[in-house]
Amino acid sequence: MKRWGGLLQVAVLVGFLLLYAPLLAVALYSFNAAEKGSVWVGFSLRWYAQLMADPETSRRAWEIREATLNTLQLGAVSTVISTILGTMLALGMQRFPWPSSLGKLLQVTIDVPVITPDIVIAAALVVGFNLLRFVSPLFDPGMSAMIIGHVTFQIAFVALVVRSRLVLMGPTLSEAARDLYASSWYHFHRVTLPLLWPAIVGGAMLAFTLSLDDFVISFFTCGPSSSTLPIYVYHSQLRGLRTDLFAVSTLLVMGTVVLVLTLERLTRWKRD
Amino acid sequence: MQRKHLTPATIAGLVGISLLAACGNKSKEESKAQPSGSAAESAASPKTPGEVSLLIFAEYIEDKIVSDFEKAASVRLRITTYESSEEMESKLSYGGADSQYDVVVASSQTVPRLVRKNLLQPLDHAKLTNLKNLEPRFSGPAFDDGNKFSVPYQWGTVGLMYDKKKLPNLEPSWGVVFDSKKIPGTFILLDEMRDMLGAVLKYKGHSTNSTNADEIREAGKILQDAKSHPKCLGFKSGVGAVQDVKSGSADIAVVWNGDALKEVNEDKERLAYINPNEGGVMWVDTMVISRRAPNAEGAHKFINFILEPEIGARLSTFTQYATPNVAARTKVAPEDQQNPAIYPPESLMPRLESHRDLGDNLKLFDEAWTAVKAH
Repeated sequence: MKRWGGLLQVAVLVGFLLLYAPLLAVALYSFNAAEKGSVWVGFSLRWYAQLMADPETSRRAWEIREATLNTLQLGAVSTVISTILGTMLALGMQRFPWPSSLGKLLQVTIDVPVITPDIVIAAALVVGFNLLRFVSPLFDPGMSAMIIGHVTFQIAFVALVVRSRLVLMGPTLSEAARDLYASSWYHFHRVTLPLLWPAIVGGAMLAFTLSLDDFVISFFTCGPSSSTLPIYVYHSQLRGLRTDLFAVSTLLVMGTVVLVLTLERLTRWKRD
Repeated sequence: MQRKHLTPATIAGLVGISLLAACGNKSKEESKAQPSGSAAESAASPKTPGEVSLLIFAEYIEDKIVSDFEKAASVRLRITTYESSEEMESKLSYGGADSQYDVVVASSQTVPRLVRKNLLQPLDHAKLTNLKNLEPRFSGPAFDDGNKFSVPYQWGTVGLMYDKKKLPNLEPSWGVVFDSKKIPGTFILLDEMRDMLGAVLKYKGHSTNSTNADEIREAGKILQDAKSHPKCLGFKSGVGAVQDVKSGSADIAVVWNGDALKEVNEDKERLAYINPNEGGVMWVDTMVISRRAPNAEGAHKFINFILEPEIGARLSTFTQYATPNVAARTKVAPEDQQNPAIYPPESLMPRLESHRDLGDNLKLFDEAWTAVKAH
């Protein structure tokens, strides 16, 4: 084992490098003084200053700010909804005594959205929304349609994470609680929920990240006032990558890191 | 034990707060979206509409024109950009976006199709007092039944941008990208179906509006060969290809004239643009109003604003495309007015063809194009 140690360390380093080198490059270039492109001209903080500029006077600052807020709003709302629904789905699938064939079928059905390519889901949503918008303006392209779209693919991921935890937990603790005359509610919030909590948070974080990342589904369902950062970056990059986009990306990555660390802190399980 | 209860509650609280914050910020943004300092104007016209939404090709309008319009009409102009006609059309027809955008800048050949799909509303000519400024061939019966649905925005050609230093004697012919024996250097093709296939059709001496399946298939074949040529660097939409020629990573690019000219003007020693002798496509981009436009009033204001001579001239000076506006043309910078790359000489005009709506025959183009792109 010992002689593999060095190799292992190298592998870990290479892995981290692969993960973080591009992010570091983006962070580095966000301090480039040039407006566009990848030629280093000089150190400058002007892109960060420009992001903080008064949206009243700077159109670009206004657009970027709006796209950022849209992205965060979309991520937060869709994550909350999909976490609740996904957890309920997992509980329902696992706890209810389904006949085994039906249980299998349910399991396969829940996996389908996970492996389906985004573009297929997006196309399906466009077709579906096109019909549904005669029923309700909620399905018109825009924030509400995007939230619904994101929830549809997030649910599957949340349910997957939560279900695997439920399988690991097994029925023993629940049976014990029942034996001790715990009511349904008491049993749920004193036994099931605390045990399940890490998986729920994990599922939510996964869902939030997927939402931040998503381009395809947002692209097909967004309206004029609900463009997100990925869409904004896509529309901007064809005319050369602007340095202010690097600055936004850096802030976004840092924001995500802080968020993940905070969540991790808050949800750490204290055993006393 | 206390902590255990706290965790879920804390998270829920945090999420709630962040949601509230996001929403709060959002509504603040929206209220900010109303231009400040327009209190007096909005008092004068109490029902000031807040926003006009514009769907337009990327980098196709000057920032100054945008802010001038916002001031003149005291609205916020929200701009969404697209990169190809096909993207715009699918967005408009399948996404239900006709209730989202007010003004759409669409190429003229898509307009009849959009009308057939019932996505556009007829223009109210009483509100377009500047319509009289249009050149005769872009107004009256000559164009869209007397501008029933569309008003021209800009027009231009598709040609070759190239590096003069590397290719000093480039033959002004489509052969330099379509004839494998003549290809002198690396090249990029234009990622726009009708314009690109139209160029090949012209090269073979056919009409760009051909409905002959064999001709179109042959054009597709030529394009496939060009694409698999070792010197071909692929398809790009206008600006990307222009940047590549500018940076030296490509020698020739098939581009729209205005995109190229913006860069050629910066470096006339090295860069050049030509309209090939075989002729080619003359495209017209138009402004239309979507059927369920949330702010049709503002949309008319915008179109009328663009038709003003001063604004039209500034727009064409910015885009480096030709203006369809007679009154504006005389106000365009003289060197632009005399530039044959912007306003093609009379001798070339007969060989330039505008796109017509081909109805069901468009399928033939679609098939050839998909085959090229998938190949």
